[in-house]
Amino acid sequence: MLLSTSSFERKPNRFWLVSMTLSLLVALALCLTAEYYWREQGYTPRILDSAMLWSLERSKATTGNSLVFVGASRTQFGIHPPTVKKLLPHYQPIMLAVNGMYPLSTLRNLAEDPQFNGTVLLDVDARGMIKDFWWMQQPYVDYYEHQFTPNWYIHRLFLNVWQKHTVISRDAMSITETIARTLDTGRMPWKPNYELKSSRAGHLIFTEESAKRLAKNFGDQLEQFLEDHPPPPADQWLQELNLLAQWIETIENRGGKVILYEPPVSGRQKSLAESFLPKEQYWDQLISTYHLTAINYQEEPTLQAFEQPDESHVKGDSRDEYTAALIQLMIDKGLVEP
Amino acid sequence: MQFDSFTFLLFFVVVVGCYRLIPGWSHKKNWLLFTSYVFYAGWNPWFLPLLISTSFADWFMAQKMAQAGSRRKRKLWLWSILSINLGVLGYFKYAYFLSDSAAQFASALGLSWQVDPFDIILPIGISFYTFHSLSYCLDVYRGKFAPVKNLRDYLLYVGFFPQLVAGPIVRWREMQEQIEQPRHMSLATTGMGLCLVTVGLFEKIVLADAAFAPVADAYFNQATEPGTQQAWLGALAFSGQIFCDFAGYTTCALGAALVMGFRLPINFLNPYCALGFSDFWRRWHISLSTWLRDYLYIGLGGNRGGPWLTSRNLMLTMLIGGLWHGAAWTFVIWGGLHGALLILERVAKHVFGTVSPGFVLRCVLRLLTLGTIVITWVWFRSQSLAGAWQSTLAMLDVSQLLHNPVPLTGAQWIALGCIGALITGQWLMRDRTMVDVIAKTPAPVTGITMGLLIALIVLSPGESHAFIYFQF
Repeated sequence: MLLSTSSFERKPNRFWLVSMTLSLLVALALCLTAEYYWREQGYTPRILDSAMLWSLERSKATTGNSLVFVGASRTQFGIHPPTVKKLLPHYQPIMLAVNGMYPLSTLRNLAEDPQFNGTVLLDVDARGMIKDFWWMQQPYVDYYEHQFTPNWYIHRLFLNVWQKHTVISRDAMSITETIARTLDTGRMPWKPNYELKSSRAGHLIFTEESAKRLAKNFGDQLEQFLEDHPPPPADQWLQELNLLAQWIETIENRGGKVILYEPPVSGRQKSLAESFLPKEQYWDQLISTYHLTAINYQEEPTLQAFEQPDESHVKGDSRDEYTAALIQLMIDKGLVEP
Repeated sequence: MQFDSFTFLLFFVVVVGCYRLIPGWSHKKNWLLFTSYVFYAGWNPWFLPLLISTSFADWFMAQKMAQAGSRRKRKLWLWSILSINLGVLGYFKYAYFLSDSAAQFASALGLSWQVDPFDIILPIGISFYTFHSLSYCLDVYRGKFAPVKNLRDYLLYVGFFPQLVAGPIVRWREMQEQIEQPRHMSLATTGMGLCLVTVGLFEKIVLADAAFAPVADAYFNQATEPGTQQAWLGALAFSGQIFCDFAGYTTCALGAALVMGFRLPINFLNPYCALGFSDFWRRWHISLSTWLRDYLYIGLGGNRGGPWLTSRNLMLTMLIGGLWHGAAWTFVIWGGLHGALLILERVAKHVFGTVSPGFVLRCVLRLLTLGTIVITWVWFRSQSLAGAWQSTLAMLDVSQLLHNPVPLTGAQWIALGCIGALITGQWLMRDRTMVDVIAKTPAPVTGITMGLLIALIVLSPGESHAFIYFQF
């Protein structure tokens, strides 16, 4: 049964003009009111990270001049892409680090991509290479491989602009979330302690109090975790990483390069890591056994000089200098060409 | 490309703008065909050649079939068409399911045979455009019309972007005049078309994705054994989600086509107010149910062979209809349940006669129909037969509902409120379409309502979910 048009085609043009004008005015008024309300509550526009945004960046990592940053929060909130671009103008910096997730599945994805022959800076510590943590970023990889389409590529470009300029574009401000939250707890949405750019790189916002609290939380969580899940013996750990070495070899055989990188930490983060996964038994063995290229902050005084207010991440206003120091190290070691 | 994306917004503005400006109907059709293929490539450009080649093959073979001198030769051409279309559909959609099922059967017989999972990507909309093409070829075979001479017109009929990937499944007879004769755009068609697109996006983004999906997903993705209340909440939320997701898509499709002066067939007519299961199938996915009726049920003999054969034909049609939706036993059982319900209804009508029930009895029967349909949706949504069975048992154990009520979360209240409003709305609208309702509403009310819907769409951000029916 075809759609019947007889019921509305007799309507005068005035009907449609009034309807369309009114609908635009009402929609505009409601959206502006909501935007004003949230801004009054202290919320500001921000880019939201997601598998779609990750895939947008991932889709750019196809050429030899890609410098891909793979890792977790220490890279996502530590590396400053404009500084990379300034120091290495021939490279295209691409941020694939994901906050809170260890990165080996992303490295495998790059290894399995026959097009990829760029340079990878793989931010991972010995704990992040325990087999249990290898696949944390796999949902991002799966989204990129199976759901990301040209449609979503263009959509996300527009969404970035929309999120950059409006607060109402945040999921937490959606009408259903707001009603559900009001019914459940009555609380206002969480104000994140970080900001992101559309490149997916960002920075953390610390106050003295929040930094102390975060340092304590991170330390307590890590300690509890390591006690509940003691790391495997170094021999077993090393044996399992044979696969990692194969992925690296695959990328390097295509003309690419992989640099393992352990970024600076301090306080309990450093002492706990050292007591449960001693560097000489784990990291050093990995590098020498598989002949890998690596940078470890413990061997680099310039990197140790940067303060981490929460014992894990560099300060937002140090990102520029920290990135410059790291890139300079890579240049000095002949790992990238300026 | 998805309707609920910025990409489509941009695409649609460009398509409609140029469509208006391009002179001559033939050039306009070329433009529509080109942009329809761009729309399809927005999902996966690598499957565009498959769409074009199967469409071309069907057009060519239908011509040859019509020209064939003998009945035997025509039949041969028809079998070729069926083999190619169903072969392609079978390969992409059912190859792993069939191999895996055969392996399980072999294992039950004590034979050892392992099937590795296939890495086959299902081309989007393949079930829909295959059925488009098949209906055309079958009608040419039956001599209902002469095959279309113009290849471009045929490609446009199959590939017209509003209905390409998730229907409605359009017949050539419904589109022939609209493709061959110039379409006219007017303020009325543009206005109503945009209203329909707005309603469709509201159904998809606000209701399906934001209100229903979180509750339905939380229930159907959980690993624990379900309680009665949670099972009903999950099933009701999914009932809302599946309707708003699919009806949202087709409402957008109808609206987008209408803006350009095309009228597509309506696909949903307030199915949750159905009085009985045959009434449900006259209101749910109408273009598929009429397709199955015309080309499968009637082809099998329909109701011409007495009650037993009629029941067999109904059951076969619904089982195949279930399998059309997805390559899994849960879909087959879902189809089987609907087949059984349709047979039961026929028996009941035979026993009790076709008396016209009073108001109260009508309400009771409508509620009974709705409740049963909600239970059958569990089989459609569950990821395993065991999960579906557990949910069904939990839903039928009503005593637990009275003894162990659990406080609802905010999201569950929203889903419950929305499904209540949706069902009430459908009961009030009954046989009227959205177009009828909008056409009878005063301009200020239409304007304010549409403005409110647009605001709710904008105020429901979140990364888009693919339309559920895209996977079919």
